[in-house]
Amino acid sequence: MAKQSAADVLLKPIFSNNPITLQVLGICSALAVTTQLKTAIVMAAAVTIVTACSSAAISSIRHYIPSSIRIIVQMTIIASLVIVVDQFLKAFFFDVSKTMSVFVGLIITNCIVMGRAEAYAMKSPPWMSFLDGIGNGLGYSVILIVVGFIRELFGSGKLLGYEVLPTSPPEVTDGASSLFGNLYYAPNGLLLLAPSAFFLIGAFIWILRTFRPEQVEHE
Amino acid sequence: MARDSMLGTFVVATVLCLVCSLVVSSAAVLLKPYQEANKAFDRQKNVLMAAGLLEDGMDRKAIEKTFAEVVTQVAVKLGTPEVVEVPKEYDPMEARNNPKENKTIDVDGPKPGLPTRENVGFIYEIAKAGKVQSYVIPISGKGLWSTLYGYLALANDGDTVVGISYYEHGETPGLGGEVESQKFKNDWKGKEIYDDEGVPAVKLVKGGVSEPGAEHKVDGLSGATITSNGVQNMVNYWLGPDGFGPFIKAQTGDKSDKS
Repeated sequence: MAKQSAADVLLKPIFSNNPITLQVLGICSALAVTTQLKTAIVMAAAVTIVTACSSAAISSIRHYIPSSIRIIVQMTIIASLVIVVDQFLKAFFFDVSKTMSVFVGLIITNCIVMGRAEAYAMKSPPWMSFLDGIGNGLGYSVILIVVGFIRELFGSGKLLGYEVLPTSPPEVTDGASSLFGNLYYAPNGLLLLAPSAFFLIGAFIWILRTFRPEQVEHE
Repeated sequence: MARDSMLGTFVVATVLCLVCSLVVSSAAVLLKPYQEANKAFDRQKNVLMAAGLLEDGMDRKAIEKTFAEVVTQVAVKLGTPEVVEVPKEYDPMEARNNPKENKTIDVDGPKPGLPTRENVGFIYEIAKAGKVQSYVIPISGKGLWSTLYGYLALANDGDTVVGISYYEHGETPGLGGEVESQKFKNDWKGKEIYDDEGVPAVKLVKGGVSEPGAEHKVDGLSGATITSNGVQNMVNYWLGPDGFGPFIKAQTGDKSDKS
C-alpha cells in the first residue's frame, strides 16, 4: 500500500471507501437506531469518537501488544471507551440514552471499530489511525443520518421530533384554510421497521456504485 | 523482555487491565451525580406522565415547577392505611433491601416477583385547588429479563386508571419494551382496578379485550407474555392488601359495597 496523505485517510472512507456501502460493516446498528434522526446522530457521533480514540490508543501501543492476545487487547480498549461514552450519554443526554438503551453498549460489537483497529491501527502511527477512525466514523455517520432522515420523515412525519408533515387533518378553524388545505400525510409504518433500513442502505449502495463503477465487485 | 514471551504477555495484559479499569471507574464515579440528578428528574417526569399532566414541549424547568406545585409525596405504611413520618433522606428502594426496613413478600395471590418489599412506600397525591385529583402509585416487579419500575395513576374515586408509565426496565426493545409505547399506555386509561369484592382484578389478555369484565382487561403485549404477566401481577400486588390498597380505600371509601 502506497503512503497515504492525511487528507486521503480522513476523506476517502466517506464516499470512495465507505465502511457501510463498500466494506459492508456495521449494518446491524444502522438498522436499529435509525428510526429517529436524533438517535442516529448521537449514535453516529458515539461511533466516530469510539473508533477514532480506540484506533489512536491501539496504534500508540501497537509495538507492545503481543500478537497472541492482540484481539483481546483491542476489545478491552474498545469496551472501556464504549462504557465511558455510555456513562457520558447517561449523564448529559439522558433521554437519548434511554431510547438507545442497549445499542450504545453494542458499539462494542460494531464491526467498524474492531475492523479499523485490526486492519489499520495495528500497522499505522497514532495520528493517522486517529484520522482513519474519524474518517470511517464519518462514513458511517453519513449513511446513518441519511437513513435516519428518510425514516423519520416518512415513517412518522417528523424531523428531530418536530412535525414536518402533518399526520392528521388540520383542525377546522372558521373557514380559514391552511397552505395545504385539508391535505395530510399518512405515515408509512414500514419505514419504522428494520427491513426499510435494508432497502434504503441497498438503494444507497446501488446509487453509489452506479456513479463509481470501480466499487462493483467482479466475480 | 520480548513482547511475545509469556512474561511480556502477562505484563501487557495486567497493565492494560489496570489502566482500563481506572478509566472506566473514574468515569463512572465522576459522572454519577449528573446521572442521579437525571434519574430523579426522570422519575418526576414519569409521575406527571402517569397523571396525564405532562404536555408536549414542556422543558425541564416547567416540569420541575409543575411537579413542585401539584404533587405531594406521602409516606404510607404498606399493607395499612397509615400515613407515617419518614426522615428526609429515606429511600424506599434502599429500604427494600435493608432487612430492618423490609418484609418478605409471602402473600397468596399475585406477587411482583421480588423477594422483599419496603415497609414504607411513597405515594404521590396530585392536587389542584386543594382537592386531590389522583393518586400516583409506584409499581415495580419482574418481567422477563429485568425488574420494571413505573407509576400507575388512579383517579380520586380510587378505582379508575388515569395513566401508567414505566421509567426503568430492561425488557427486549420492540417486544416487552413496548410497555413504554403510547398505545399500551392509552389502553390503560379508564380501566377499573377493583372488582365487586374490592380485590384488584386487572388482567392483561391475549387477542383483544372482550366482555365480560372488559373494564378490568387490558390488551397484552404481543410477543411478550412474560412481561405482560409481570405487569399484571405487579399492578394487582401493589394495589392489593399487602401494598397500597388499604391506603387507597381509606382515602376514597371502600368500593366493595358498590353496585
